[in-house]
Amino acid sequence: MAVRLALAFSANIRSIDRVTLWTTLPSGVAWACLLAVSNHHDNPLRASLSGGDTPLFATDLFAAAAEHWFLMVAAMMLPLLVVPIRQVAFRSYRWRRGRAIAGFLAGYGAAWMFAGAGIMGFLLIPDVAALIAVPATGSMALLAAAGWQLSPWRAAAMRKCHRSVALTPRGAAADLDCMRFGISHGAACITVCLPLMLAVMSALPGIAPAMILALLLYFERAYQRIHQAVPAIALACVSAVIALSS
Amino acid sequence: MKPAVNGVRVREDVWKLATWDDTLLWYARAVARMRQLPIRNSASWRYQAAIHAYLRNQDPLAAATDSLPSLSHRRRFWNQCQHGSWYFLPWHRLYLGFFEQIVRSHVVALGGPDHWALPYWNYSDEGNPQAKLVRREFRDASLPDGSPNSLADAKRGQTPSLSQQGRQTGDFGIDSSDTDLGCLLTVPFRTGRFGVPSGFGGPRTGFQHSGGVIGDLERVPHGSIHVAVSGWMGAFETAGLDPLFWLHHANIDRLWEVWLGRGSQFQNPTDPSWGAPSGTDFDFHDATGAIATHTADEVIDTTTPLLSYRYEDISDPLATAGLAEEEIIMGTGPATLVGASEETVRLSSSPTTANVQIDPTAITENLAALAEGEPQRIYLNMENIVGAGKASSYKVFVNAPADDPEGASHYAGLLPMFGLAEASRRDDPHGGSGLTYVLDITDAVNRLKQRNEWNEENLKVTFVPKQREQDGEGPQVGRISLYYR
Repeated sequence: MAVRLALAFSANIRSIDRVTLWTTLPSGVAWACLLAVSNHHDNPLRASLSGGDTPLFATDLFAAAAEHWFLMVAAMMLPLLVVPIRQVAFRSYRWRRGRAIAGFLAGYGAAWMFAGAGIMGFLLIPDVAALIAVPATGSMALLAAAGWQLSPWRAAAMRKCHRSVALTPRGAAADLDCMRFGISHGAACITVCLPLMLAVMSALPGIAPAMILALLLYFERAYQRIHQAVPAIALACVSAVIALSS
Repeated sequence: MKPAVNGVRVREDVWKLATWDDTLLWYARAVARMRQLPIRNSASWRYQAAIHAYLRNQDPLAAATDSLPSLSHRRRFWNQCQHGSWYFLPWHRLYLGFFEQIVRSHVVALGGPDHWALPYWNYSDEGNPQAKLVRREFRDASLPDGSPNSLADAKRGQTPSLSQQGRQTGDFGIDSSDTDLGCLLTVPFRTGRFGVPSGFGGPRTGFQHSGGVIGDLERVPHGSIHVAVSGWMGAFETAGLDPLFWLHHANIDRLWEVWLGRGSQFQNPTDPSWGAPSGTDFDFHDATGAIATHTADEVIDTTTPLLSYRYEDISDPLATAGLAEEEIIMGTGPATLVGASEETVRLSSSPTTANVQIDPTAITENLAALAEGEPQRIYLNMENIVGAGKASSYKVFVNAPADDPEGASHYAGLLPMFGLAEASRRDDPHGGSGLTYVLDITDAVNRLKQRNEWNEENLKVTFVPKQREQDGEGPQVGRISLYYR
């Protein structure tokens, strides 16, 4: 399976286009920023909440958390957006492709930042913050994420991630369509990815586990026949290791 | 029935067989035997149809005593048909290959010949005035010995009147727009670019059960025959229950061989992601019940031990009929959007016309992007068509005058809505995105330009349903768009 995925990935690399390039490059920059600022001994979620990371620009705790969240979303999600961005671009007039992509990304980003604000608000509750400091919580979160991976709700959201839409060709209606598509695509992505992201970010130290998860999510999206159980088993195994070692 | 040579059996033209030839007689007996097996048995009739697609509430043969295979088994082996994909042809070749092997095992068990092979239905045969009719053997209630005929009890017909007429005469309303072989002119097997037809075999995809952009052969005659015969043939879930389905797909499979034989430019994909080692693999059961897993590149040669068949006739029908030899070459460059409808378009049981506003800036940009001397191609896209209910076909006309909405010079192509309901469901792998069709209308536009009937600012697109006796609401086209390359 790994060899087949690697071969398929290399075939994709060979057929790379501008959309792929302009989604992968910013993702790479975001990963580099995360690596530069992260506290590698703590889990990313707790580090960003406690100010353990060194923010690039932010000066207060909430802004630092928002900055970290934005970088994490950009790093992990941009490579997953090649297909919808390509769709938005090529279903628009050449002269308004940039605007169409910007509208889509604005909607998509807004959905993620909204979700992020909600999560940060929830995690800032003292009892919850204390709870995520306990290793057993991380183990439980990974186990729950493994269960979510196999759920029909996640499968339904994944199908929405493969949706295409008809766009109005011009005017404000076109901008609205692109933004609406970004929001609905973002909502589907959040349902599919967020529980896994939160579990990994709360359970494991440093950025490397998030990078591995991003790769898993990419392959799952690109090669639909990967069995849902594969990432679920991986998550359950990591959960067991944490539980046994704590 | 022709003998096998070196183990390679011959798939024969069903219209060239004698009445109740052994091929059809043994087929009928084997189908009757398969129908008696429970749906859990991979060699049963219903299991074979479920490989294509299965929905319990759409199963006309469902019984309270049915015991279905486990959910994980169904996920792996059922609902596997590939549509809107470059796997459409290889997957169906494998599907037919294992089906033929299973039917033959039943034929042998019943005392029949071991060189039995599936016949094909060549409805496009211009030399046979009966080619578009369904043969009597698929309509008669009984076999020559008086026993019930298992080939005849499938539900067929677009309308009640066509159903009755078809059962009596074999004429289910199939016409030349359904059997057109224009797909054989298309050179690339696959494309993967927005706005451009997806090639002879379909667009490059991963595993794709339904939806997406439909390839030229998959559109006509594949989809159009499914819709014209209708009844069980008209839906993914029931198509395989009609014994005619297998003869129809044998012909589609044969047309792949015909296309490859047209010249050196007609080539299968060479991408590593089509076949092994990195392409998608497909799971079936062979006649012994053992699991068989194969990839697209393993079925290119039909005479290898995996398949062991050849067709009686793979001559080029376009060459012999003296039809146009122009090949539709789509090139490698991207197409650009130059016009689109502002709103969705609801089709109905009467002709529906929609306007496509053409954008002058986009036209200028496209002309600037064209290399000098490069021929311009014009593509009409019908994006995200969704709908429920019985599949129907629509003829598409461009800039047709009100007093002659179906004039031949304005004809752009046929849209058979086979798979529409499946592609519109929320549980479709694409979340109900529907079907997308792309028609090359370059020739139609050139004809309009010659007659000064082309308008650079607006295109009028008319959809005319093939059957006017439709029930319920028609499909909805998400957007009609015009692309230049």
